[in-house]
Amino acid sequence: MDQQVPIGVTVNGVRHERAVEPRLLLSDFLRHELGLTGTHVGCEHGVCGACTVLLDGDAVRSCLILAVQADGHELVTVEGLAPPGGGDELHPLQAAFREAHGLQCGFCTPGFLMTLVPFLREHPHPSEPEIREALSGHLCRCTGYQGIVAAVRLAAGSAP
Amino acid sequence: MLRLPSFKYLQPKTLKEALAMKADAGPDGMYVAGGTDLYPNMKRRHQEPRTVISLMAIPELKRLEGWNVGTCVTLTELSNLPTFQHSYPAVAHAAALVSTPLLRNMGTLGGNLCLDTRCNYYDQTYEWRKAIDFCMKKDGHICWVAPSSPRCWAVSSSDVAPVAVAIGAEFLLVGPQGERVIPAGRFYHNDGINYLTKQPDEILVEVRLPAPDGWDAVYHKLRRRGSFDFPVLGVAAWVRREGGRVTDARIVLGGVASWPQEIPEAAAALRDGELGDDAIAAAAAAAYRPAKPLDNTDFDLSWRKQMTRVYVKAALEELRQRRG
Amino acid sequence: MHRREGLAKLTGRERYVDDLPLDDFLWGMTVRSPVPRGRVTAVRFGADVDWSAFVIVDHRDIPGPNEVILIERDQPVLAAGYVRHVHEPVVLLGHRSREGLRRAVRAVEVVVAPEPPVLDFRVPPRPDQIQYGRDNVLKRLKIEKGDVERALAQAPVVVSGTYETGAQEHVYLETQGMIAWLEDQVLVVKGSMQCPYYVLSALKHALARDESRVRVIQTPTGGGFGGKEEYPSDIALHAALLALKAGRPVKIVYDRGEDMAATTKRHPSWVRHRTGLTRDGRLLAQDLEVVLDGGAYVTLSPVVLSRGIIHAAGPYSCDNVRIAGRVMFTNAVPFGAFRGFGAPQTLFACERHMDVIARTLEIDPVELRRINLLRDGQTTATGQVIRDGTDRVAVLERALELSDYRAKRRAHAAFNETHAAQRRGIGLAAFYHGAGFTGGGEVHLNSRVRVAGLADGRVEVLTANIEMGQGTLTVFTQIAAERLGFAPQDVAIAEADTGRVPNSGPTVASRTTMVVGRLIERACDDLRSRLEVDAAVRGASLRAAIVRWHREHAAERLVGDAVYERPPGISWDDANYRGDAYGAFAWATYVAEVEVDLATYSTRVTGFVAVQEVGKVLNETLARGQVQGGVVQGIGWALMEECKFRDGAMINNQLTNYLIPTSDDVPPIHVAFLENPYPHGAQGAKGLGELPIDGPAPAVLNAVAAATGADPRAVPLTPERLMAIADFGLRSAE
Repeated sequence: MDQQVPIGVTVNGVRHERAVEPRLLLSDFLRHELGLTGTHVGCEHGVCGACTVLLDGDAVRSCLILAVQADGHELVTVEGLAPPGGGDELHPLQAAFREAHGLQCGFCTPGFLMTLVPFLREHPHPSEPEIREALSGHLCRCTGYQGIVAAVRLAAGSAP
Repeated sequence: MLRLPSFKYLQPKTLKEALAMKADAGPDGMYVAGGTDLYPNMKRRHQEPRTVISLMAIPELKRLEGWNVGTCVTLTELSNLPTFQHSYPAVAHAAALVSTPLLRNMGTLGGNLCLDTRCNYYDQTYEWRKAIDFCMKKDGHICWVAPSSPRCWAVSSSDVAPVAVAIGAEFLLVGPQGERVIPAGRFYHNDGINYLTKQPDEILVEVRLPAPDGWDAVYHKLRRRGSFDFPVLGVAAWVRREGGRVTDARIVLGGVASWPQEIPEAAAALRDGELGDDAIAAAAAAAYRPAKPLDNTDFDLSWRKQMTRVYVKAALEELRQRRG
Repeated sequence: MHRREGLAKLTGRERYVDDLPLDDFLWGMTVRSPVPRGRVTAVRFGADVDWSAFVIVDHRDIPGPNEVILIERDQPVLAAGYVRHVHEPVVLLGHRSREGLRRAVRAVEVVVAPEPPVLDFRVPPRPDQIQYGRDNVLKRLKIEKGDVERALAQAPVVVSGTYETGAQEHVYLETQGMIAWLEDQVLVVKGSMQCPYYVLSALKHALARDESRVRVIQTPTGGGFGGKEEYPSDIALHAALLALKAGRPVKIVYDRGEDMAATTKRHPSWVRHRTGLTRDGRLLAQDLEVVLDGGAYVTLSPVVLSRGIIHAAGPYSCDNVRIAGRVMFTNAVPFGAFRGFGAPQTLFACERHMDVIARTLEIDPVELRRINLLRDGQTTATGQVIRDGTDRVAVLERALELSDYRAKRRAHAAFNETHAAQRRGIGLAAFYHGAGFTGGGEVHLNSRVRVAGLADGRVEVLTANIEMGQGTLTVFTQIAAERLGFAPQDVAIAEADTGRVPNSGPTVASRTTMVVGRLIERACDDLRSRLEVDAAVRGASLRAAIVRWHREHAAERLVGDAVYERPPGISWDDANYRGDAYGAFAWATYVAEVEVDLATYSTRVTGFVAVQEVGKVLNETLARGQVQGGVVQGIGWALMEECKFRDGAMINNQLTNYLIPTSDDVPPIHVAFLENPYPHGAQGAKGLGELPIDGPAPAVLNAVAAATGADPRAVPLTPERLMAIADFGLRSAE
């Protein structure tokens, strides 16, 4: 029963090969197998959005995907957003969140960031309703969303 | 700490291979597409397949040919297709109203059409359900919504299904016995447990949409927030008109029964007349009477019933305006 | 200044409790009561589990008293033969694998002989439901000023009304979690919490360990809102008991469903107002009855009631006030601390009632508030003379101006004339919030802060106050840096570790910036005096002085201390509930605009203005974020957040069915501050964190009332509730 499936995934540019049980969720794989704990788990059933990561560039909930489904695919987590090197240089979205105070407790923040990367790629100049719609698959309990909306506008280069 | 139970995971590349795998796995095997419905359910031990067969690597299921749509097309793809937005706005709109942008990236057309029925007493963790001694939909014997009832009243909560039924789409199913094509309306049972007529080993392969030849349809969804929530009421309205006269109509409600509930009385009120205020009011009133929502979803019962009339009216008014 | 820990949070480097690397540990889980009340007749361990692979803890494993020590000692750490609420912890299990653990929890059956529970706090209990004292009253408090009966009898007009609010779930995004292990002989407990010293005292008591053998460390906390004030003591005790028995580290992290079902919520309330007035709306008498649902144990309910009743009469001047409050025992999961702490409930009632009065008297709701707002020299319900120099009418005026209140009212009237299916309206709430602990609370806390001068010339601020998103680390840095003339990077903030930091009190009650921040300033001053330099020595020269001191005092510690001192002229009589309830109040007026769909009875907030006077604003961006977040939490409570209970258990304990606002459900929140520095707060600051949750519910419901003519008296005002109380005539005949 405890089938082990060999998988190979590229996470933040680094190739990982592991044998995993099919039931292992991608969120658990990232957090426990790879130690990438920046991907948070807030509800475990696809609602809160804290566990969002990029799978081949698309934002997905890692609590609703099996690690085996990621086999052969390219993943990006919040740890992979900033340029490598571990310095203080940030991805423009991270810099905008920092500048516009788009975060408080920070637990939901990685999920928001990961959703916004493809969103801004597809909507370089989003309107406020478009931003609010894009964010509507994520829950934040601290900010009232306003700092987050402001951060998106800042990142998109549109004055708040 | 919700964890999936153990299972074997298979990724067939063809339909034939998928069917063979299912035959091997027997009743403990289940198909999965996007997983946005099945995996949370498995975490709550609603379904406990020992073999999970992913359909996502089967090219035919991703196909988009003319008006035939493969069932593993994601809801995002479906709602963004310009041809759909133009010719099947109700389908595109219903797909765009499912859950959140992220779940639409993952969830598929077929998954939404086969969505498990929902109920406040069922969509709970194992421990919660154990504390009420379970319900008949899973592990128990009683329906907590209607304790004297012999059947389960869990609610059809798909957004796309009512539209598919209303516009008269057909579904292509492939099983060990071969192919069959059935009208969307015959794909569903009004039973919370056996809510699909599909056999467990059949695969819903394709949705065949009727040619856009003069009919029109709309979908209105009631939920508490602008995002996330399952429909507590969905209204799909379809009309065919000739020279301002309605020659045929169908009204289908989601979220009020265990299947997409067609309301023939409402359609009858529209047929052979103009889509005028009186006809719309009559259809809305006709929809109100047989709509019998149960106290097992979000929102209060009497309000939901009241909203049937309001939403049917609004849907029909939009149809009138659009092609008036 | 940027949020201090922002970089770590933005890059995923911040380690919340579940992210901490941990070797050779067990997961812990809790077996809970299935029913609201009864005698536990058996605990059965299913035959299909190999129990030798599990660590099993029940009440017999508790070394000290089986009590979660707080105000009272009525709550057991683990039920001992009797349960008083659904989900009450009975047995703890520890195991290596989470999957195995979950299966094992399912295999334990707690058998209970049920007894009649009390589930509605508004209904007087039957004799067989009495479980606390003689009448199930957990706490009774009363405020009296003047002669209410006589004033009511003589008042030209008396307006009465009752108001209700429901439970609210915190929905901090990070669920509760705790790790415990033994390090030599010291029990270390680490986790998500607001009050490390509360956890410490709970551990010391029930585990019978002295301070030298327990240490509590806060981990970065993913939201609290009061939900991590008292509850973390329970889960810390559970993790510690398992770890002590297992001899290995144990981690307990709740999943969302368990967190929502088994932990605290905002107290449901029922408030009755009977108000005597002149015909032109001057308050003559306020007679109030406040009832809260406390749940099955006392926990913090007495102080929630206290804050509730002190705020219940509103920011108004009235010579005759009587407020009788009580918290009722019910067999519900204990209700607990939640941002606002009783005040949101009573201020909802007060401010909704003001609009009910205005409608009854046919006077303008703004005028009614304007003529009654406290002026300097007037007294609150407890007799506290307000003399802070704040122009409370100016706060009101500013909110009206920013919201364009008068023009909006005209525009809405015109809109409503011409639109059949929607109604627009605007409503306001004027309110206040006392900062810090009530009455003698701060004196009792006796908070201490330390600022250490480090050998390299930097300083380290040592407090037990924690960051949970509200900005403690940033504001503390600012306060110390400003006081010393340092750059922010020369100020370190110590981890909240009871092994290192002094007890500066809990991170609650809007006290962190005002009270603890002020202690940091004084500890900075004390550091200077240790160095024997005066206040003019700042920045580089001060750093040099610190370095020099260390050179001259090798291996010694350079520490500035401060202990709380009650501001002069403050006095509180706890026996009679009279006197200066708070050192300072923040004052506010919030204005909400709504659009109500008459066909669906659904309400959308379309505009929101929040104006407040909170003393000196230390960091406007952080402060604005606090207000916006609090307002949205308040809008959720006002319109959609509803805890549904069945037989004492929350049945919508998931994020799919307990709904909080998304970005799509709320408008931009316009925030403005008026500043009147408070001399006893850090840099003149007053408390801010809780204030924003007090105003939205009454402002939104007043707006709905203005829009529709309906008279809503309860939150959440869901569409079905509005339909039940209003008929907008769009419903055709059945």
